[in-house]
Amino acid sequence: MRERAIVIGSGAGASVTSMVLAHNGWEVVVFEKGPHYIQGWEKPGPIKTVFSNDELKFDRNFDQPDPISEPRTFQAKQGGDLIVGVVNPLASVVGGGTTHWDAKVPRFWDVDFSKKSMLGDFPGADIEDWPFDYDEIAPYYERIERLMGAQGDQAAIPDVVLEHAPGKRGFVMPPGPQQLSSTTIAKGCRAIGLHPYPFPMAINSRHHLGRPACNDCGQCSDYGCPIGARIGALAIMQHAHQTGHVEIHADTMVDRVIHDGKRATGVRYIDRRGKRHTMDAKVVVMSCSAIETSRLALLSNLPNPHDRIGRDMMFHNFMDGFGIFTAQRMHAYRGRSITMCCEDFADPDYVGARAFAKLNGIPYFRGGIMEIGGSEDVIGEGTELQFILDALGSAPGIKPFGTTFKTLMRASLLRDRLAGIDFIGEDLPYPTNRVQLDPKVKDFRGVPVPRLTYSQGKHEHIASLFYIPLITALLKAAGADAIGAALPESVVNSLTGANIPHGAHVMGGMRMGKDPRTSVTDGTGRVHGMDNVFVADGSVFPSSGAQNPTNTILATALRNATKNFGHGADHLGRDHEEAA
Amino acid sequence: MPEQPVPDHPAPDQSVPGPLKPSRRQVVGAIGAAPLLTLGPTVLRGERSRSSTPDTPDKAAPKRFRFFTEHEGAVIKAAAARLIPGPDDDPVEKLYNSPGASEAGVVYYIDTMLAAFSFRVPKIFAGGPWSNRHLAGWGDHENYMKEFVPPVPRQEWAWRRRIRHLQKQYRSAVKQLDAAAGGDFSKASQSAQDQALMKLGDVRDMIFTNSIEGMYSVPEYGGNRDTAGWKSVYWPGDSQRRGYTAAEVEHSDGPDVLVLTPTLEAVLGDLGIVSAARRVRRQRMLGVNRIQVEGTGQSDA
Repeated sequence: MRERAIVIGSGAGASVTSMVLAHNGWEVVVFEKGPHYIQGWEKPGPIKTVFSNDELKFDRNFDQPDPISEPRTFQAKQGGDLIVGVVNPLASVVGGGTTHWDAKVPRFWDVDFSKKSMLGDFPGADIEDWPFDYDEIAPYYERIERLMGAQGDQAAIPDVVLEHAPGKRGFVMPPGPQQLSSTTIAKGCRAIGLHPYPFPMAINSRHHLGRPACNDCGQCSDYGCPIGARIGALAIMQHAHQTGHVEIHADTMVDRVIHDGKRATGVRYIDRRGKRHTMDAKVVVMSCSAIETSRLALLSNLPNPHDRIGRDMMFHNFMDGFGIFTAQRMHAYRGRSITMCCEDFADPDYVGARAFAKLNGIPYFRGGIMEIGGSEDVIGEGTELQFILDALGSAPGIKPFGTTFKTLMRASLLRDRLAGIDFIGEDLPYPTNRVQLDPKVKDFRGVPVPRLTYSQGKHEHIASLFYIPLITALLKAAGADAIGAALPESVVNSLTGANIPHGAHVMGGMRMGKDPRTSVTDGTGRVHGMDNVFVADGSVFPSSGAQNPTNTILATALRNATKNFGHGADHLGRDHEEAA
Repeated sequence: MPEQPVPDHPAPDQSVPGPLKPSRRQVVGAIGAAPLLTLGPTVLRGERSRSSTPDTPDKAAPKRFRFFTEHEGAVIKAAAARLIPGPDDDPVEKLYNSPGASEAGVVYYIDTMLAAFSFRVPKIFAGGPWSNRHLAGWGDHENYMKEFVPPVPRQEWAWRRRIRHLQKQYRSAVKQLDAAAGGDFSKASQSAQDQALMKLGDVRDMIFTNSIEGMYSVPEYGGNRDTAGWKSVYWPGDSQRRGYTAAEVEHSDGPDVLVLTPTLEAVLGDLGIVSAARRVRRQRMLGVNRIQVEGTGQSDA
């Protein structure tokens, strides 16, 4: 008779943990508070879905919590102005954020895992090494990349990346077509001495395991894939399901882990009719993504003797650069949402970075990976132009609507002529950046919502100042007809009012570590002081890294679950599987 | 739900606007300048002429609104036509013969949204995985977007509140527009309508946001009639199941030189605003979520 393990959430961390549990003799029950939009993922072959090329549907929060029924609250500092509404939501559907991600799977670097050893302390930040180093996690990365069905080109990975993240990737297929917008910005990168390369991503570039190759429809990032060329973590959940010992409850929210301070005995959950129930379990795994897992831990009064739960939240230091091309259209709306990346700026020893840090009185800083070549979709361009025309409303002779608006839509400066850079800089863990329960605001179920307190620190500020001129320079180098710019956060903040972090890279709050005074979970993601409560998502990260986090969430969850629950899934994602 | 495999790259239906020729597009950004008037006929070529269009629903027997009264519908239609004008609303748009909110039926999009819960399945989330509108004649014809996806409780809770709020706002907007126009807004002169919209910033914001949605969303939501909105911005729209070929992804369609006008220069001269707009969009605070609704969440306060 199998014993029951409950996994809360159904995204990246949950899929891996469910797979390992199910292959080690557990009966797994998965609770997902969001709905179920994909059928047929349970076995190799085509899927059926209601995801589609429909920008409005995703604007209408089809796959994300609606800020009316499930708001969050935000303040820049403790006691500051409180905003109630949209605060960095992640898709909450079966499959989690990996249903609508752009499926980029770069790896973190050695300096991320061995942060304190390799870079040292940083004033005001909680700098620690992870419980493991790059060499330990590397084989797990490779298995994850195979399980996800990653596309990429090992030979094209530049030396600066291999120096810090060596080894063979688990690419099972080559990169697909390169977007014009990406290759154009890549030229600019090369012109200033950088090393762009085809972005590793978990999207089919050819038919794979019964699912079709991507046809480059372009409505990719922020959309669910209509054809199943990208099913994210469900590709891994499939291996759990195939044991016959996994069941998934959608539209069902767990609001308590029931425990006695030492052992959990189960969970309390709210079904889709709003009724509360309980379910017993021998193991409880929280993988709700970093903000929601911190919320659940606080709701459940998990042991928190040193007030560490929810602290050290990290979101990445996102910066926006863009080139606008006046001599041709870049049609970034075709293709798989950015096909090139460039990691040179993740290097703490990038030329001039150490000297600039010293000049500004800090020990070091890091930028991060750049996603190069994205732009806006059509409703996005329209609403941005509405915002822009409002802001320019006082300019003489400019009516903020009418033919002015249509002229701009036809010219398409922001969609068809734009090629952007998403700079994903490292965000240091500051203990003051934290998730708490909001004392007043509740969601539609009556459950207190998470309140985020967050401001960037000196590290992010100095890194931005250093990299902005370089981003602008490479955008200009990308084409004589390009008008390129990147702007400091401070300028953008002054124009937008609030710096609510965005970008859906959510990490920290339940960080791993040896010392319960400075961490919430142990070296395998088990909550300190609890026998059988585990965390498997980005909340366990002690540092944010400088790359898209999902590959690392998956690899970390695989490593931790294997240590905690056994080796029964070790055959999955191995090299020899590829022929199958 | 379809069972067919996805075709690699079947030929697109001829009705899909293909890549536009540079000759036609080079003038795209260059409006507002008198000399351009001489380009009129060339610009018009290939675009649907409004006068030759067979009766569109709003020209035939008046279509009943589900939420709006006839007067409210007329006012919102007129306001939307000032915000996103078509050939009958603005001489420049006539020059381009570029459809606007009236031609795209934006008022029916807004009416459908406000009456979303009057349908058997609330018209909030169109279905999937694709519409087949670009693949008529290739295998499976069914438009799966037509079948709306029933909202789950968390969505219904939010949307009932959002729509109730919007219904009140629209009722009030019509009254405010009429008052500002000194009578029936829909019958006021274009300049009086513009002045009213300039004066009523919040009303304009709301109608503009929803008009943008109604203009460029998939037609299943009630707007973007005959994909007029997409044609007006030279975008093919939803591309599944065809997608794009490798060549279409990788290569330029050819030169397309933007002629800078004062409007374009104003935007390009203030890239801080562009960056701010991109940020606010990424924070998901534009569009649907831009409209604040009282009673968000529940509060003990």
